[in-house]
Amino acid sequence: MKRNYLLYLAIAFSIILAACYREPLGKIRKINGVNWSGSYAVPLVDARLNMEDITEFIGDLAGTGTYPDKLIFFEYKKSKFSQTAAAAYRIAESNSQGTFPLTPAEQSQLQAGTVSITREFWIAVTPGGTNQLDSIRLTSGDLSLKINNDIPHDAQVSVLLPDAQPALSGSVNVPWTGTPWNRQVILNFNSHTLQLNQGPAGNNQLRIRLLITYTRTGSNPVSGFSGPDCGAVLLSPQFAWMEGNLDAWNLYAGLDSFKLGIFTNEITKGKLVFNDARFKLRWAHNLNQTLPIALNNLQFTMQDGSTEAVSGVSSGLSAQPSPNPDTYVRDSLYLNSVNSNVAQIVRDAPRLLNWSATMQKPAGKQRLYANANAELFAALELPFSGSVQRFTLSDTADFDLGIGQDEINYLDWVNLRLYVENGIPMAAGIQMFFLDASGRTIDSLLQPYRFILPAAQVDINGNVTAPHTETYDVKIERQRIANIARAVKSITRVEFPSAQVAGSPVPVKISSNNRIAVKLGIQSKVTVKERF
Amino acid sequence: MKTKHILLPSLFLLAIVEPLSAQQNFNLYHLAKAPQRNLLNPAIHGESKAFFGVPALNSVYFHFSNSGFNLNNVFDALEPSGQGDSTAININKLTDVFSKQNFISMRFEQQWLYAGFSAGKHRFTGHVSDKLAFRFAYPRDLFSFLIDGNGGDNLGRNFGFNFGLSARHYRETGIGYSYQWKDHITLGARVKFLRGLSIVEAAPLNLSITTRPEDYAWQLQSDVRIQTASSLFPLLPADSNANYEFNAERLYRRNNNRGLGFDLGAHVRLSEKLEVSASVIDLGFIRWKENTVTMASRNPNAIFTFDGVHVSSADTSSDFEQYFRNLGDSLLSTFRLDTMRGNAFTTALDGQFFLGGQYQLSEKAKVNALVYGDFYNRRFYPGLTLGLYWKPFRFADVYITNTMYNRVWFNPGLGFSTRIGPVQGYFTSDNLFAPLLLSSSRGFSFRFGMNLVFGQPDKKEKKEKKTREKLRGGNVMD
Repeated sequence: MKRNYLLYLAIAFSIILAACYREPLGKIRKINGVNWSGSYAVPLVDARLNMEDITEFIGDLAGTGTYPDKLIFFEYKKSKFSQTAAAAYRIAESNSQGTFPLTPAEQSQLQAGTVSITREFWIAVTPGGTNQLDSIRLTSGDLSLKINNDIPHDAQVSVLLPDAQPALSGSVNVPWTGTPWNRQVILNFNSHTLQLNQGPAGNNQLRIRLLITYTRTGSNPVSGFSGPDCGAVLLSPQFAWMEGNLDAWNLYAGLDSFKLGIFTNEITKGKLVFNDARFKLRWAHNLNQTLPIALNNLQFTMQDGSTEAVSGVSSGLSAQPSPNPDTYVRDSLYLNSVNSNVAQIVRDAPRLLNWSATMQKPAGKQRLYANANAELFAALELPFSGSVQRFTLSDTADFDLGIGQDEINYLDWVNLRLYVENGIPMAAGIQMFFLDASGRTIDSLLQPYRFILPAAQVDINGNVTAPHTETYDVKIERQRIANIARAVKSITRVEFPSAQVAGSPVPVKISSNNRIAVKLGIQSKVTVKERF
Repeated sequence: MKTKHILLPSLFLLAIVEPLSAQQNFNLYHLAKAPQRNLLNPAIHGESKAFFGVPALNSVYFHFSNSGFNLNNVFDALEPSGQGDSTAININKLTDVFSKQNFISMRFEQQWLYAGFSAGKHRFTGHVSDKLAFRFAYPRDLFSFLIDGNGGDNLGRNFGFNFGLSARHYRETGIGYSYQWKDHITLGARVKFLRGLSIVEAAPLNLSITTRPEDYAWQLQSDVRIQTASSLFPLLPADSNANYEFNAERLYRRNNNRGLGFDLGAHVRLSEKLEVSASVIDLGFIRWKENTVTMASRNPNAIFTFDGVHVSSADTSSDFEQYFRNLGDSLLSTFRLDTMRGNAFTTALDGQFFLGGQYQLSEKAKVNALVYGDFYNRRFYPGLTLGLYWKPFRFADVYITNTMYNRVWFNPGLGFSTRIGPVQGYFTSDNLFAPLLLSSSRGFSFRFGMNLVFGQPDKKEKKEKKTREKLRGGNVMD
C-alpha cells in the first residue's frame, strides 16, 4: 500500500511537471523568426576648413598661397638651381717627373765627405678649360712623391712645397745598404693655400722642391750613376676657393613653361576670372660679382593657339654681388597689372605660359668659392580676386557601393545630415550621378538638386558680411539604395555659381580668414525580419 | 479589527512591491521549530530551551535571482510571423521587460557553529558563519541602445549605462541576547564581530552617451569608482610587487579587515492569537585595510564629444593613423582612472528589516505575513510573503507561502521542519517551484540545516494555557 502511494505521488508529480513545461515548450516550438528594427546615428566628419585647405583638394590644378593681407592665390611655380662651383670646376688629377744627376762639382764635394743638392720641378693644378689660376685653397687631396736613388752613399732627403701656406714638407733618412732604393713621401692638403703663378708657365703650376744631403759611405765611388729622380702625383684635390682669370659660367639657361590646368583641364566647365594675375621672376646667388640676367620670350599661349607676349620685361636685369659666400643676395622682377599686360592676358584664360632665361657668371679675374651657386624662380600667381561664372568641376570614376542586395534588404533608409557654416563668398553645389554598365544615369545623390553650401553674404565690394548656416537632411530610401548599388560609374560634379548681390553678379575676394565648417553625420534604419 | 490593521498595509506594500535583489529569508522567519530564525530577529526563537547546531551543517543557504526577465517576458515579445500559427520574437519588445535598473544576485552562507540556551527570561546565542554575496546591476538603457539604437526617437536621449558590482566575502562571529519583559514582550539584540576576507565594490560604474540631434555627435560621460580589498592578495590591477601565491591559511587567520554589526528585534504577543514582531539586522560596517586598491575616475562626469573625424587646417597635414591615435589618447585622458593602493575604506552591511505578523486560526494552523525590505544603491527594495503554517503531526511542521518579489507575484515556497527526539532538521525555499514555473521564475533560494535541541522554553506556560482554554472550550496550538 505504501509503495502504491509513492507510485501515485510520482505519477502526479510527473503530470504536474509535464503540464508546467508543456505550455512554454509549445510556445518555443512555434517560434520561427526574429523581427527587429533600430535606428543608428554616427557622426562622420567635422571639417573646419579655410580656403587654403580647400584648394589643397584640387592641388593637381594649381598650388596655393596667401599674401600678407590674407588674400589667397593659386600659383604655378618652378625653381631652377645651378650646380655648385665645386661641381662645375673640377681640379684634374695630374703627375710630373724630375731627374737630378750630380754635377762634377757636387761629385767632388761628395768625394771630400758630404754634399747637399737642391732641385725644383712643377706639377699642373688646373680646373680645365682656359682658366688661369693664380692661387687655390684646397680642403683635401694628396701630393704623392716617389724618390729613387742609385748613388751608393747614405742620404737624407727632404721635400718641400715652397709656395704653400701654411708650409708643407716631408723628409726621409736612408743609409746605404748596398742596393739602389726608393722611398715615398705623401703630403696632405688640408686647408692649404697654394700659389700657382710662380712657375715658368705663369699659372696653374705648383712648385716642388727636393733637398738631398749625401754623406760618403766607405770607399764607394761618387760618379757613374744616373742620380736621384722624383715622381709626383696630385690625387683627389678639392678646393674651397680658386682665384685667377676664370672662364664664364652659365649658371642657368633654358626654356620652360607652365601648363595652366585651372583653365585647361578637362574636368572644369564655366569660367573663373582672375582680375589681378602676377608674374614673378626671383633670383638668388652667393657669387661675389654682378651677374647679368636675361628673361626672354615671356609669352602666353591662348586657348586657340595664338600667343600673347608679356610686356614690361626690362632688358638690363642683373644680380648684385654677394659680400661673402655664406650670404645670398636676393632680388626679383614683379610684373602685374600696373607695369605689364600680364593680368589682362590672364583674364582671357590662357592655357600655357612660356619663358626662357639665362643667368651667367662673366669671365675675368675673380675669386670663386666652391659652394657658389644660384637659384632662379619663376611663378604665375592668380590672386582669388575676381568672379566666378558657373564654374564646374566634373570627374568620372569607377564606382562600387560594396553592399549586396541581401544587405540592402535590411536597410529601410539612410539619412545624411549636413550642418554647414559657409564663410566663403561663393556657393558650392555637389551632385553625384550614378551610371549603370551601359552608361545610363540611374540615380543621383541629391533629389532635387541644391547647393549644399550656399554662399556667405557679401557686400557690394565682395567682402563677407555674414556666413551662411544651415542644417539639412539627404534621405535615401531603400529603393534608391538598391539603384545606387547597381551603379558601376559615378560622375561627381562640383559647381560654383556666380556670386551675387541683389541678383547682380559681383566680384569676390577670398582670404584665408574665410572659413567653411561642414559636419556630416549618417543615420540608418535597419529592419530585420528573419525566418528560420 | 486588529487583523484588518495588518492586512491593509500589507496590501499597500503588495501594490508597490519592487524587484528584489538582496538576500531573502522569508520562510525561515516564521518556521517555528528552527532555531536559525533567531538570525533574522534576535527576539524570536525556535521551540527549544537549548540547542547546538551540527557544525557546518546547521545552516546552509543559497540564493540566486535575476530581476531582469523571465521566459514569460520573452513570450510577451512574440507576434504572429505570418506563417500559420507560428510566431516571431520582436527583439524590440524585449527591452520593455527590463526595469530601469536590473540585478543578478547570488548569495551563499555557511554557518560553521551555532548554539544557544535559555536561563529564565534570558536567552543567549552565539554563531560563526561565512557570508558570500555577489550582486551585479545592469541598466535597461544598455539593451535599448543596442536594440533600438541611438537614432530616430532616441536622438537627444541620454542613455545611462549605470552598472553596479558588489562581491563580498566576510566572516561573522555573533553573540545574541534576548529578554522576555512583562510576559508578552521580548526584546533582543546581537552584536557581530566581522572579518572581511575579500571585496570588489564598483559604485558608481556609470557611462552615459547622448547623440546630439543636430549633427549626430556622441557625447560620452563616465564616473567610475572601484574598490577592492582582500586578505589574500591585491585583486586588481596586477601589481608586480604583490605576492599572488594562494595560501589557504590566510582564509582562516585573523586579518585587519575588521567590522562590527548589530541586529535588533522585538516580539509582541498582542493577544493569545495574534503576535507581531519586527527586526532590523545587519546594521554595521567593515573597515577594509588589507591589500586595498581603489580605482576612480580622475575627472568624474567629464564629457568627451566625438563629432566625427576632424578635418581642419591643422589636421590635413597629419596622417590619419596619428589622428586616431591622438583621438584615443584624448578619450583615455578624459576617462582616466587613478589607482590608489593602501587606502583603507569602509563599507556598510546590506541592512534589512523584517516586519512579521501571525494569527492563529486553529490549534494546528496559523496564517502569517512578512514584510521585508533592504537597501541597495540608495534604493529601497521591499518584498511580501503570505503564508499558512500547518502542523499536521506532532513531530513536523509544514509552512506554505507565496512571496511577491522580483516583480513576480507568484512564488510559491515551502518550509518544513521536524524534530525527532533531540534531532531537529529543517528546509525552506522561497521559490521551491522555480524549476517547474519555468515561464515566470526569476530566482531560486533554499536553506537547510540540522540541530540538536533540548527542552521547550515555555512548556509549563503552554500547559497552563491549554488547561485554561479547555475550560473555556477554545483551541490553542501546541
